[in-house]
Amino acid sequence: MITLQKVSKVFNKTTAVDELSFDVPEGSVFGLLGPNGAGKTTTIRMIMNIIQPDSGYIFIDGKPITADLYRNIGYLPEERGLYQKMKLKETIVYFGTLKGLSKRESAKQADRYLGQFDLKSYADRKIEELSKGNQQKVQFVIAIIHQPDLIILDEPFAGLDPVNQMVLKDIISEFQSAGKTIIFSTHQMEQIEKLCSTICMINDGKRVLYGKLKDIKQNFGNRNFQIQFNGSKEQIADIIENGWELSDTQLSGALDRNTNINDILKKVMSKVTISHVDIIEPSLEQIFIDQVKGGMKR
Amino acid sequence: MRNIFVIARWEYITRIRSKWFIISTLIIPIVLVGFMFLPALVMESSGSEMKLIALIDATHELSDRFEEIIYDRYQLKDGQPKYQVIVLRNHTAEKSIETASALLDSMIIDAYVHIPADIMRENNVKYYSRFLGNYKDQDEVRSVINSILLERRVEDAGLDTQLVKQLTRRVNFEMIEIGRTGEKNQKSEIISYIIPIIFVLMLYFAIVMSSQVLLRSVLEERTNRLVEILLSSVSSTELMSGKILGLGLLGLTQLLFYMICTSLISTYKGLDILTSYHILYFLMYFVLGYMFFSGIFSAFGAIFTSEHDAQQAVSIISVISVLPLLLSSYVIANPTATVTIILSHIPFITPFFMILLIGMDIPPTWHVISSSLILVVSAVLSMLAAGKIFRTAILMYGKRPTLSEIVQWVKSS
Repeated sequence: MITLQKVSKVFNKTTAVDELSFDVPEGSVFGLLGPNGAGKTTTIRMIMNIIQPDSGYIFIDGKPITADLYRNIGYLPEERGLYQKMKLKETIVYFGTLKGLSKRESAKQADRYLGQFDLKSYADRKIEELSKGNQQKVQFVIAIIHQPDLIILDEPFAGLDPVNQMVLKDIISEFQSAGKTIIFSTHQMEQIEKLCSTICMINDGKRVLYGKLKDIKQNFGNRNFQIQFNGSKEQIADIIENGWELSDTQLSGALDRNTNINDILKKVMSKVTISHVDIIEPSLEQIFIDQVKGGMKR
Repeated sequence: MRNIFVIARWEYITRIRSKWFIISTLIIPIVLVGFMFLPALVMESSGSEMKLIALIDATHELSDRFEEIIYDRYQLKDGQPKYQVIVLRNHTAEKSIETASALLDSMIIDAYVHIPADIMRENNVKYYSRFLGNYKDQDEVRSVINSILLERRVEDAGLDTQLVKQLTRRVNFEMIEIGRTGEKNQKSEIISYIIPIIFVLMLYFAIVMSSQVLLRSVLEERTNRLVEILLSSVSSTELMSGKILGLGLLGLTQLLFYMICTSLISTYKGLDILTSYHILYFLMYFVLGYMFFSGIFSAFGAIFTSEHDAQQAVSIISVISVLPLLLSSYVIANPTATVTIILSHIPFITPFFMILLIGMDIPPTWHVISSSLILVVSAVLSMLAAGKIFRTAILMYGKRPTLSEIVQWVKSS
């Protein structure tokens, strides 16, 4: 649905985005990941045509992005604000009409989402009377009121309590099952591990990792194993490889591509009794840190 | 185009119902009404009420004649004498003054006059009142005393009183103002001075207020980052155009309201304050002036990140835009001075000075044309430059652009 080809953007001699390329497949939930300042927001702004790339191309459905495509895109920016003095519902309706809805249609959708987000009683209140979390829900409603096919969410969970995070996730899965394309941008990688099917991880404006989440975890992640056993640890001391750890009851270490868990188990089984085996999937965060060696912490 | 109207409509509707707008719009007509009716009200009330004055006549010779003349000369609308005179005849003048002061303090009398015994020689009379703002009363009392003294002196000199009166009668002085078009306008002096000022205020409020609302509106969207949502729906040109259009209509609404108030008042007062020729100029100078100012103000709004940042800049442009108001009194005093003509060609000032001069029926056609041409060109340039600055600056955060950067944006196509 969206294609970026060697997109670069430079601000005041600082390269914010550096020859970034990726594809967002239609109907996928795509994660654009990276630490603060990696260039995520700049990339999204370029996709939204709010700023223009210095070089490279961005296509939506094979066409360069133009203003008439906006009606099909919903965008929740990272930096969020609202007209504090205005009433809640009329503000939502206004943004709906800016996206091309008629006033009536916009009001209808506004009512529907205000109900879904439990904001109905605030409809005629001024926005400044709403709590921060509620304002954030309003911003999300504004992003989706026109039923876009593509939804871009920049740090959507920041500042939401767990209950509202759940409400948001529910609505997102609703969109997902309706076949809509969703792009997440976040630095909180654990938040979206379960949501995304495809990810692109960037750091310093460059692509670090890109592909299907499953493949990435398989290819880049060092899975870890933990074997708990009964018996004397001296008996298995000779099978230890570099980087493994052995205590009185547990053997643990990383599983790389050349090591098969079955081989390890066979060796251990022949010496001691195994009581428990764990294979620990790597977290995205761990993969990221491994990829960006150099002490980059989030 | 649709988006421009959606934005314009939103800006217009959300601002026009704000308390702030309603209050600031009502201020002008209130001031206007105040200026138009207060002097008249003061006059009217002074003409309908009887005044009680005490007279202390130390000569004991003049009081009868004083009463005679003042009753004869000044009457209220209903034919009653305007002044009722109480002549105080205590043993001494000091005693009388004491009594008179007490009467004045207790607000029984409006004023008292002390004619000393040596009046014929020293020519001094004292007039006491709680407030001396009412020149008319003082003038009338003075003129009565003058008449008495004149009679006395003429008699003392052995001249014919009637003849002298005939010879020294005053000329009738009727004030008539001639407009440029040659027709005669009978206006009071105060009104012909105030009308141009009111014209400037009307235009000033409509242009500068709505430009300042525009600045605030751009700043608000920029500081709370709403601009990102907006720019993911519409282009920056649409956003700017919509805002300028909507708030321009707001200013126009204000101006039309002022013009309606003015023409209501002028019909009521039977004066030709606002002619259709004035209205045309108002509309022309509003459109041009607003284009010029709104371009500058919207660019300012886009450049600054926070209201706090923008504060200094706003105060600078506020000072610049107040300048024409401050200079107005100079223009009224010197409408044809070279300085006035030169200043009226500066686009910041043109709309206000020209409407002022037009209110005074002064400017020749060439002056209107030459200053308007410069304003038209400046307004178009202001719009174009603002468009470029707005487009580039609106999403820049963190660092305020330098002047040379801004110049660069304007130059770039």
